[in-house]
Amino acid sequence: MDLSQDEIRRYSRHLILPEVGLAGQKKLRATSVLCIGAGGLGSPIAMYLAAAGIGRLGLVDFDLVDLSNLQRQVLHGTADVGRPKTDSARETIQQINPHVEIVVHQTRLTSQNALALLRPYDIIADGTDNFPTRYLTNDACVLLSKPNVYGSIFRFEGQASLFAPHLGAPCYRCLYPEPPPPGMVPSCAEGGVLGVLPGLIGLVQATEIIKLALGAGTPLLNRLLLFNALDMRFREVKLRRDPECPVCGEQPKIKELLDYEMFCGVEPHPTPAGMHSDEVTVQEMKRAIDNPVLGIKVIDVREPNEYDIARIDGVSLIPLSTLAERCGDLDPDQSYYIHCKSGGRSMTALNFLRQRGFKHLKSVKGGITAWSDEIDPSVPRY
Amino acid sequence: MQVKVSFYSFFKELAGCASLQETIAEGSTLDGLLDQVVERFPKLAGMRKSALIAVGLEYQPPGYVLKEGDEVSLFPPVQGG
Repeated sequence: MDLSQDEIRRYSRHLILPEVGLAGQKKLRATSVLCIGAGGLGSPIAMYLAAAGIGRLGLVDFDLVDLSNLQRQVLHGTADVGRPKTDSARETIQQINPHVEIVVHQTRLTSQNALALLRPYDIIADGTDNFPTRYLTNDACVLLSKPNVYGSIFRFEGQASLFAPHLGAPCYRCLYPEPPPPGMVPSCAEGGVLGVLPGLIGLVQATEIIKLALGAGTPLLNRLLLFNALDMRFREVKLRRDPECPVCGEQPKIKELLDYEMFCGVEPHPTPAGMHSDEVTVQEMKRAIDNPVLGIKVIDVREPNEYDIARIDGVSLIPLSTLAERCGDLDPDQSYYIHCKSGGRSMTALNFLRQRGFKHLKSVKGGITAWSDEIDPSVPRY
Repeated sequence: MQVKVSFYSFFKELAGCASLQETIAEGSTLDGLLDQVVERFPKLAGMRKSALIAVGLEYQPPGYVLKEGDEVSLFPPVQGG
């Protein structure tokens, strides 16, 4: 389809570039991009791609706008604080260019939804802010043979590359086969980030996306671009594919998406306020019950009369009153999640077992009452 | 022989310096050099398998045999977005 009069005026500075021209502008309009994260990197990526006339722009973000985001996340404004990021992003993008089709997904990217979310798009932009989602994005892109336009930032430094094993380039895992031990790498929330830095790195990503769509120039394949804002210096490291890469190597071991929080050794969701470090949520307990491969056993320390009123399948009953006699049957090296009615006795049981040398213990916050509220309402509350 | 080791991003804080000259035996590999570096800066030990290592301007695998005057760069993964 030809460009309208309005589009011709809007994109005139592109159209007079021989490398873009009418044909290139139509290619941009025929291209779909999914941006994972509508934060620091996602803002410049989405805004400039919209302005450039990308055809369809998807955005995945579950989060709400926080005042502390505004220093760098220019998709969102002061009046948006507390609103879903996808809502304010949609309005900003519509304002920039009504010709762009915007698809927002106000959800967390997970192993369950990733393939379905990514599949309809030509190019994926990684604007996430944590390791589990970065590995998830990478693996989903490799499995779907989609280019993964990568960027990440910390304090004054950033990196960007174009990961695409199907085009002969490495993937994220070729560079970083193992995630760092949990807690070793500070996040931007912990370590800070210069507000303009995601602007710079995000626009490197947006540039690569536009070049890919146009088929113009030399893509950032097989190269990692490293930027230091304090030195105002760009460096480049030449990369190569790892033939033993577990996801894109010659004999890939990863053929479907994994549990990436487990892989990275981090808590499945941001710890809710007021959680003790010895506690887990009922969602984590469900994960342990549903996935015996995780090797976590769940025990219920309520009394038998309570067990008769309400119980959860897949859980063994060891009443607190009998724990001293029965703890000899338990393995101190085994991982246990302990639940009771609302989280008090399970913590007592945890401390009791810990004193006896048990190493891997968690108490389920809120107990079976929280389970009834949040997981399975058919379990009676009493 | 001597090689130069440079630290990037928060590796600078973990090592307490931006770079150093390290003396290694002839025929040492990148992996062997890392053993020495980690011994000197134990705080880097946990990141050993999660760092991107370049010699000069090229990524190299752990078995790479170092040459006199090589410049080795250690880049941590960063997660921010």
